[in-house]
Amino acid sequence: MALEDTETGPQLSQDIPEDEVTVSEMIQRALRVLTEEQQEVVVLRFLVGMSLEEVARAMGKSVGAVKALQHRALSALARCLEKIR
Amino acid sequence: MDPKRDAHEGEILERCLRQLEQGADLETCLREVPEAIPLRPLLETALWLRRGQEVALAPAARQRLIRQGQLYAARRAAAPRASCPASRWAWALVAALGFILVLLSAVGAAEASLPSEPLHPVKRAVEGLVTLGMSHEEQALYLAERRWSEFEVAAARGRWLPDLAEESLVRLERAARLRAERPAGRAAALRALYERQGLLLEEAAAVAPPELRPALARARQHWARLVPAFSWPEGEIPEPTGPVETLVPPEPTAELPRERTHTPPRPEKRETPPTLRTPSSQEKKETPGPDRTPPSQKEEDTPSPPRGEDSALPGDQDSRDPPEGRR
Repeated sequence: MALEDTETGPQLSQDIPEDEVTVSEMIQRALRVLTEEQQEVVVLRFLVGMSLEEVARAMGKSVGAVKALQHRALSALARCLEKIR
Repeated sequence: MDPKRDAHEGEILERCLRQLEQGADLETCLREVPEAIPLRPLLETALWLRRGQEVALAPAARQRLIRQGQLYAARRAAAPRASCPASRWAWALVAALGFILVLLSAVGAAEASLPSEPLHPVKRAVEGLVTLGMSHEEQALYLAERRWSEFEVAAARGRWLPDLAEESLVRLERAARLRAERPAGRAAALRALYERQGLLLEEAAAVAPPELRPALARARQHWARLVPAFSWPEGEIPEPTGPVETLVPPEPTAELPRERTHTPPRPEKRETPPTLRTPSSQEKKETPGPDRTPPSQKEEDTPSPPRGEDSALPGDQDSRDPPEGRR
C-alpha cells in the first residue's frame, strides 16, 4: 500500500481521494468484525489518538477492561486484515 | 481463553504501544520486550491503523470513522441508560415501595381473616411482631382477645370454632395467672374479656350445630374453671384504672344493684356469675341469647365462679354447667 502517495491525490465525490477511500473502507471492513466496544476502543485509541486512560474515562470503564478490549480488538483485526490482504 | 494470560498480554501490548507512540520502531520495541514477539501481528495492526490515520485518511474519512466510533458509543450509552446507578437506585426504591404497599395491603386484609383462610398466617405473623415488646401478661391477654374476637366474628357468620375459644381461654388463663403474680396488671381488661367469653359461650352452647356442642361445652367448662386463676377478692369489683383496651366497653355499675354488676356472687347466694346474666352494654347490643333461663333455673345450671371459702372446685363448677339438654 502506497499510503504516502494518496495523501494529495485527486478528490472523489466530496473531498476524499480514491486511495484514501480504499484505506478507509479497509479499516471500516476490518472494524465490522469487532464488537461495538472493541470498535469504540480502536477508533478512540488509534484513530482519535487518545491514551488508554482517556479511552477508559470516555467509555466509563476501568483501564484494565479497556486494555483487555484493546488486546482482543487488535487480535481480531490482525486476523481480519490477514485475510483482506 | 485464559483471562490471566489475556491480561498479561494486554499489559505487554500496552507497554509496546506506548513505546511506539513515543517514536520507537517495532523491531527495537520487540528487542526490548521479547515477550511481545508473539504480539507482533497485533502491533503491526496498531501501526497500520495509526499510519492510516496519519497518512492515508483524509480529514473527512477520519472524521467519518470517528463519528462511527462515537455513534457506537452513543448507542451503547443510550441503551443501558436505565441501568446507570441513579436509575438503578430509583428502580430499587420504586420496587421497595411497591413491596411495602403490597405488604401493607396483605397485612390489612389479613387483619380480618379467620383461621383456615389464606391470609391468617400473615395475621399470626404480624401478631408475633406486635407482641415482641409486650410483657408476658400483656402478650397473653392480647392474644386471648384476638382469638376471642375471631371467635365472635366467626360466630356472627354462623361458624362456631371451638378451637379458637379454647385457645383464647388458655391464653386468658395464662394472663390471669401472670396477673396474679403481678397485681398491678390489667385486671379490668382480663375481667372484660372473661365476661365476653361467658356471654358468647352461653349462647354457643344453645345455638351451635349439635356436632360442635360437646367441644363448645368443654370450652365453657374450661371458662368456668378459670375463676380461681383470677383470684378476685370477694366483693371486689375490678374497676378499670385506665381505658380498658378491649372491644367491650366497661359496664355501668353505679345504677345497677351490686349483685347485678361485676361483683362476684356471695357464696351463700350461689348465683350465676352476675356478668353472665347482667344485660351488659355489649349484651344489649348483641343478639340476645336464644335461651334466657329464668334465674331460678340458672341457679342450678349456670356455673358459679367460686369465691372465698365457698369457692367451688373446678369439678363443682363443671357439675353446674348447663346440662346438655339446654345446649
